[in-house]
Parts: sequence; C-alpha cells; structure tokens
Amino acid sequence: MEKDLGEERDERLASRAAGGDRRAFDALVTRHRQAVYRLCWSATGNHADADDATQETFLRVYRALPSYDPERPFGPWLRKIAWNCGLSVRRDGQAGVARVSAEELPDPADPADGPEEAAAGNEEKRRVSAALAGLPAELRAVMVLRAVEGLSYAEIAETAGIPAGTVMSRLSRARERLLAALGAKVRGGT
Amino acid sequence: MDCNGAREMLSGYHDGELSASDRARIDAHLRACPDCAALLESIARIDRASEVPDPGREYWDGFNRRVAERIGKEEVRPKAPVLDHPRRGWIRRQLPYLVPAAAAAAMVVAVVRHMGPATAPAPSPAARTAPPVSGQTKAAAPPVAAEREEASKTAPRPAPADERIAEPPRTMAAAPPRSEYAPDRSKAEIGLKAEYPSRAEGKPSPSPASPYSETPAVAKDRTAPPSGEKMDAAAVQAVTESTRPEPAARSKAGLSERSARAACEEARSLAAKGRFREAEAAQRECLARDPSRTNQESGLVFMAELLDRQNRFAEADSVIREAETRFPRNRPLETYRQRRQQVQSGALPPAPEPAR
Repeated sequence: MEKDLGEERDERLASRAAGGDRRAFDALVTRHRQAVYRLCWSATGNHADADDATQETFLRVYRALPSYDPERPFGPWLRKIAWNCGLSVRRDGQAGVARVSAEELPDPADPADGPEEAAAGNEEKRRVSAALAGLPAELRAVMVLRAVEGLSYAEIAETAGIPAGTVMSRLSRARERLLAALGAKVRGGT
Repeated sequence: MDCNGAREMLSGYHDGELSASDRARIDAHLRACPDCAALLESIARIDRASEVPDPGREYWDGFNRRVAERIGKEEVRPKAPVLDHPRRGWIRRQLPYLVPAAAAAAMVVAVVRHMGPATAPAPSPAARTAPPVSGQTKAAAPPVAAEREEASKTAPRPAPADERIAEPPRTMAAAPPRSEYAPDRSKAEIGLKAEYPSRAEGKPSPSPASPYSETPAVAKDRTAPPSGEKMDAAAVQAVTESTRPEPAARSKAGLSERSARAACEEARSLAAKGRFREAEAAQRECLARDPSRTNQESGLVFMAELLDRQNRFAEADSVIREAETRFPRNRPLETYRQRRQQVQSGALPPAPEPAR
C-alpha cells in the first residue's frame, strides 16, 4: 500500500486526500515537506519562521484540497501556497531579516570526495550558506529557487509573482553579492 | 561585446535562460576573455555550494505528526457559523439545562403565588422532590390541583426568561460545551495511528464538493452560537427571508437602501485594500440590509471569496453551498469557481476598488 502511494502522482494523491484518504495526504506531506521547508526558509531566512511557515503550508493545503483541481499540476499550486506562507510569517516577524546561527548551517559531507576535499567543500558550503542567509529576502528567495530547487525563471516568476525579467536581474544581483561576500576564495576557482 | 555587457548576462547564460543570439554573443566573448570565463565558473561554484540548512532527521521524524496535530486541533475548534441558524442549534443543545431551569422558575412562581406575599416562599416537600427533567409542566406540577392549575398558567411565563437564558453570552460563543469536543480533541492531540483526522469520518453524508470541510464536531459548530457579532443573526435573518420578502420587509429594505449600498461599497473597498476581516463585517451588513435577489446572489459569492482570502475555506464552502441552494445556476458563483483556486493560493489579488 505504502509503495503504491509512493508511486502515485501528486495530483492523484491530492485527489485521494481530498476524498478523505489520510494516508494519501501523509504521503504528500512526506514527499514535499523538505522542498516546502527550503522554499519557506528562502522567504524567511531562519529555521523558526521556516518551520512555522512549512507547517502552515500543509495546513492550508489540507484546507484547500476540496477545491484543488487535479487537472492542474500540484507542484506550482503547492509552491505558491508555501511562498505565501513564507511571506506571511516574514511579515509577522522581522521582515526579511535573516537570523541564522552557526548551528543552523549545514555540515554535509559529500561521499564522492576524499576527506580533504570534503572538508574544503563543506567549508565552502558553510560560507556560501551563511552569505545566502544574509542576503535580502527577495534576492535570497530567487537564489534558492534557482540554485537549490532548480526551477526555471518562469517557474520562479510564477511562484514569487514577479516578471521573469525581474527574476533574471535579481539572480544576477544575488550572485554578485554572494561573490562579493565570499571574495577570492570562491572566485579563485579550482 | 565588452566585459560589462557580458557580466550582466552571465547569470542568465549560466542558467540557460538567454535567447539563442545572446547566447552566441556570450560564447564568443568567453572564448576571448579568461576573466569572464573565470567569473562564470565562480557562479557555477556558488550555485553548487548553495544549500538551505536542513533541520535534521529528528525534526523530520516528528514533522508529519505535528502537522496532523495542528489539523486535528483546527478541525475540533469551533468555528463561527457564517450564514446558518446558530441560535436554534444552541438552544437545542441547552435544552437539558433550560427545561429544568424553566420548570424550577415556574415552580417558584407557583409556590409564591399559592403561599401569598405575606408568607415565606418555602417550597412544599413534594415540590422539592419533583423530578428535575420530566417535561416542562410536569416538572413544575405541585401535588395540589389548584397548584397544578396555577403552574400550568404560569408555565408559559418563564418563556421570556427562557429566551434570556437562551441568548448566549458573547464570551461563551467561542466556547461551546467542552464535553462535546473533548473526545475529538484528545484523539487529535494523541495523534493516533494514521495521525491525520479524517474529515469524512463519522460524517453521515459528506458533501462531494468539500468532503473535508467538516468533522462531526465541526458540523455541530454550524449550529454553534456566533463569534460575537450581532450581525451574524441579522445576516441569517436577512438571508433566510430574502427568498420570500414580505411587503413590510421590502419597505424596510427600501428605507435602508442607502446604508445598504454604503455597506456593500465599503466591503468592496476594504477588500481592495486587503482588509478582508473588516470587509467581511461590512459584507455581512450588506447582506443583512439588502435582501434583494441580485444582492444576495452576488453578495454570498463575495462573502465566500472574503472567507477564502482569510483561509477560512470550510466556512467559505458553507456559504457556497448556501448560495447554490438558494440560487441554482448562480452565475457569479460559476465565475468564482473558476478562479477560486487562485484566490485560495493567494495568486489572485483582490479586485480593485470600484469607481464611484
């Protein structure tokens, strides 16, 4: 049964959830919670608000499922709700001010690298993540949606409700700022 | 192309979002400019290094349960009815308390009358042992025939007092008897098994349009007292009467036509400014003051939109059902259905303020 749910398309799961299938909703949450969290983090810049917004997103999804049209793709619908939740939480708190601590930053290890490379890569990721958290919210958001989530400009534009041209200019500014914040260490290349 | 021009476009080039002609120009520049090529590589490295801090496995392990608990709490939380008949349901639920109260009041009046004003109003032993709940007049029935007759005369008298009791204190409106909700609440908080409380569970006939909109507890809520706005009752009255307006009601509506229009306009204006809660209050007034079919048909749909914009989807569902029932082939509703999803997701901004 679980396997079946895992293989179901989002739209089908949403449809089943709207019909009262709690496991289908649970599967949707499990499938999308991390992406939703990242999106909310991109809007808020800190874990506490991202956590609030992520939970709120699924709450709103649950409420809205009866009116969800399964003919339309689930992903953009979900992203839009998550984005609005992120903005809403941000408005309630410190507007767009990143509150990131060293403990919040990732400490990932890439198993493909050797120990030294992994350590260097981790250090670079920590620095980039810290710089990312310190970006203004509108720049951080497009950067996360593009670099982390891999969305196209059109998808980012739809999610954030801005023109694609604005996405391009914001991304360019975000990368400039990150490069400036990180200095020669990243700019120097390999 | 010089370096400044190229750098402006490097970001879009990296993302593959440039037109073919721009791409060709950047390609040509990069072949001749090692600095810009290095910058492009730096952009790629930054992208690869960009990460969002993951809160960790422990956080995710409990995440679904936390969401389920929030949903559970929300579903058992009483919601203010929008356009239903709140008092009737509230009275029905209070009957176990009201009947003995009315009976006791009748009994006291009967005894006092029987004993006379100069005598101390001590109830007879029989009256003291009268069963607490056995029908309004029976409970008040004293053993003496005269008293019984007196009681039957006085029994209807407590009705005004009854009504006063039935008028829910506003502070109680948001807190119906806890016992009715306790089982659902505890179940949700414990997070049993499947964790997500099913909206369809226990519901006798879920609406296909919104199968999740109500749990049994929430269904009860539709008969719960209003959340404190007197306009709820007025709106209910206006809505229910609008399909059969009497001449008196029509003239009344005519008298208040200007203020009705003002309320309706205020609702639209507030909505255009994103002040949905205030707009909702104005729209209730609009519906209450103008019972005309035209206003009710579009006004209910607008009310649903205002509720949707406040993420009160289940209440909006109720209003939509009301609109469907009262106005079949409701054109404003059909139009709204097409854009409702966008409204709910926040993708569609409210309509601008109408020109006056």
